[in-house]
Amino acid sequence: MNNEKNGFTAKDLITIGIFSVLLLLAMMLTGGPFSAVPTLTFYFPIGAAVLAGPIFMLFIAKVPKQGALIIVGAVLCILGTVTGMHWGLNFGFLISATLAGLIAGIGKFKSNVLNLIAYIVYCIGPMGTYFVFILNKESWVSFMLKKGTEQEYIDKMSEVATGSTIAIMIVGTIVVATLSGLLGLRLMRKQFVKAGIAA
Amino acid sequence: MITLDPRTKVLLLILTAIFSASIPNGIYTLVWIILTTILGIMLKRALKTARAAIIFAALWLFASFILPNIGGVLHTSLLVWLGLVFKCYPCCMIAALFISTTQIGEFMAAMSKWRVPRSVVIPLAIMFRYFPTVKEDWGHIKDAMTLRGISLSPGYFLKNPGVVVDALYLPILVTASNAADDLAASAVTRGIENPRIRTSRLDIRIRLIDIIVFLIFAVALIVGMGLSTGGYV
Repeated sequence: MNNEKNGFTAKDLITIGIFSVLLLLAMMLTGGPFSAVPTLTFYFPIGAAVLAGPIFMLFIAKVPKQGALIIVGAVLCILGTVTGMHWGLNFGFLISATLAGLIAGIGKFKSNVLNLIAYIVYCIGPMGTYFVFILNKESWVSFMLKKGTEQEYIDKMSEVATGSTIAIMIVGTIVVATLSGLLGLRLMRKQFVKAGIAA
Repeated sequence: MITLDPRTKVLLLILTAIFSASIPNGIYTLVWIILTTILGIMLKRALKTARAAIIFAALWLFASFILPNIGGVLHTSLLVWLGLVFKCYPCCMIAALFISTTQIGEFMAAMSKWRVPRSVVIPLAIMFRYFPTVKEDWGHIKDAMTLRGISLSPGYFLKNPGVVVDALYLPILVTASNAADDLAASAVTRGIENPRIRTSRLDIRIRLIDIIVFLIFAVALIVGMGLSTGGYV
């Protein structure tokens, strides 16, 4: 194997590919509708966190190796870049997935509490683009829509993006991610471990 | 009519991503879509490409001629939404073309010529392969749910959340998990773990046509960057 130093077998890599698809679909299914509406776009991370919990939990149970989540992050980052997403989003994925991997790794991917925290951190990733927005509105809008965007829209975004919106976004994401993660842990305990899938 | 090296397609995708990130003008997007459409027809994906092009044309005509006559909040929302659609459309279109015209074996062979690490290539290749499968599985799962009288409507969900969650997650995750095992077994049997340099029966080379197509897109990008003055459509 080329990757002996990481200890990834072909099976791990294939599992990573399949679960990346599921994580991506889960994110688009519940997050997509939010991102299409300008005034709701800030709640995208909340929507994105709804479904993925059980998928995430099963994934780290199946590939309990350091670096597996980094690959997921890198794959999502590549796909986001080639489909023209904002770089804040793409690198948000990469950074948060890396951190999530490190956190879950502390407990050898077996500790429920640490896995839950890892999932919450993973869900914070898509917020990267909004952090960029808050830091530099002009550059964000000019990246997303380019010159000639109506001043009206920038005003509207700025109007919506007050402190409380950001607070709702962060707190909401953490709450939803916790619930989804708990659901994941419950499914793991109740079903997957018994079925011998997550051995 | 023509076939391209997967590496050329990757380069075209990167060019399009640069294009999307730097040139927002509707009129250039239109040029880019036309180029992509011609490429799609040349690559023998005429029908699907034409459909995508027609959808784009309809949206573009709407943005240029009908949208300015709408006022108020609806105008802003639609404008922004279309702005995002126009931004992602060229990339998504060329990505769809790339995926539908490239065999996984070809893709892997081309990527190994570029010496991209396998830890990235294998997950990406699996993703291409697995997206359609998820769609298919989803159909089966929905049928099975209907058969058991489980519906996805919010009302039913509120009454028995546990049943819906189990009926939804378990089959998806179990099939995914089994698919991973099956694919891994078949890939290992075919020697994916062979540490030597990957060889391929397929003749993958950068040919004249690859260079020509790449140059056409590159020139379009450079000219577009030079002429771009800003503006929306």
